[in-house]
Amino acid sequence: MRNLIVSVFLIVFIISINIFINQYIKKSYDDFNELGSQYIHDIEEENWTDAKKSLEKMQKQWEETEHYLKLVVNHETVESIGANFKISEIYLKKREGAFAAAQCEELLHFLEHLHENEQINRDNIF
Amino acid sequence: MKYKYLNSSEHYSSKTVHNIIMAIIFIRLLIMYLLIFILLRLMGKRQIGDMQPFELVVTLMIAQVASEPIISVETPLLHGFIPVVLLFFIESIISFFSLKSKKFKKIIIGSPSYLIKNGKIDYNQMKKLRIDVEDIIELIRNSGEMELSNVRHLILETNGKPSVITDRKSMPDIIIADGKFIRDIKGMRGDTTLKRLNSELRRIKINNISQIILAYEFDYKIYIFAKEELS
Repeated sequence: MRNLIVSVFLIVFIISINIFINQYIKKSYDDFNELGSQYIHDIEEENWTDAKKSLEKMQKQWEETEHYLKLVVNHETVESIGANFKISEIYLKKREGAFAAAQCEELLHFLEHLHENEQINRDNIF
Repeated sequence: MKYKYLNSSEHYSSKTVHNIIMAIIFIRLLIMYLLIFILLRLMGKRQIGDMQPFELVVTLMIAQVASEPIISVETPLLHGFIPVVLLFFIESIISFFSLKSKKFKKIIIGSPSYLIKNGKIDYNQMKKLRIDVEDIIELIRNSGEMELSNVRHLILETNGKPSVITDRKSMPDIIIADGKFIRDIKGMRGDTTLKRLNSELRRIKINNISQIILAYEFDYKIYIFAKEELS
């Protein structure tokens, strides 16, 4: 009986963590999607100063998110997103609009993939 | 060779990186060791040889899932922690229901198989368990008995261990276990056993069989173990 109580407690704890993580990843994805759209819009308008500000905002938010994500997501995936930010920064510096926008799209795709990976669905189970 | 971390302006030599990874592996190993140690202590004191099939599966799986985040520093520790706790949960659920329901226990653990019953070899059981005569002789030898004709019962227990009952040793007939009648044995026994059981229960002032943890007959004598709280 003691084992059952301990294990039920641990399972409830894990499920709570899982719910929290899912919500956190979803919120992060929504925030990044919004910032990314703004960033791409700024690039398309060739508004480099605002684009730089948008990217900095994204990077700042990423630094906060990264620590929590590393607790649950494979570090390679998290680091590849971090590397993506660096590449975006260089493209922006060089004012390579098309490449910077493409890099941002890739970044958003990574984050979406991260969010999808945390869903309970047939694809993820099998 | 130099490594540069993207989020840091510092440079680390390959030796430093190697030492950091070793330290991370060491800390992760300690955490997982403590977790598994605590969970295995909670699971019970069975030795590997005494494990039931479901316990063996849980133990093997724990070993597998726990090792992944220890050796791969890229994998979060939670990826090992969660399956270990889940396996512990599954083991606890199975153990709990095995104690509550005999039917469930029979499905999960199975029942002992008589390879020799009343001195006769059960050929159908041998085929079912894929055991040949040489194996039977070996099992008997391992028990310390050299003469096959002395063996009255050879039982393969649910944990795979053999029990040899010789003509010199008689086997107790269990009447009640965990507060419940063992049905088939009850059916096999005559009214005299039940009468003697009832008179014994009256003598020790037990009026409900749920108070009995074990009752058996051995050499025409009834033995009763009541549920008692040891202080």
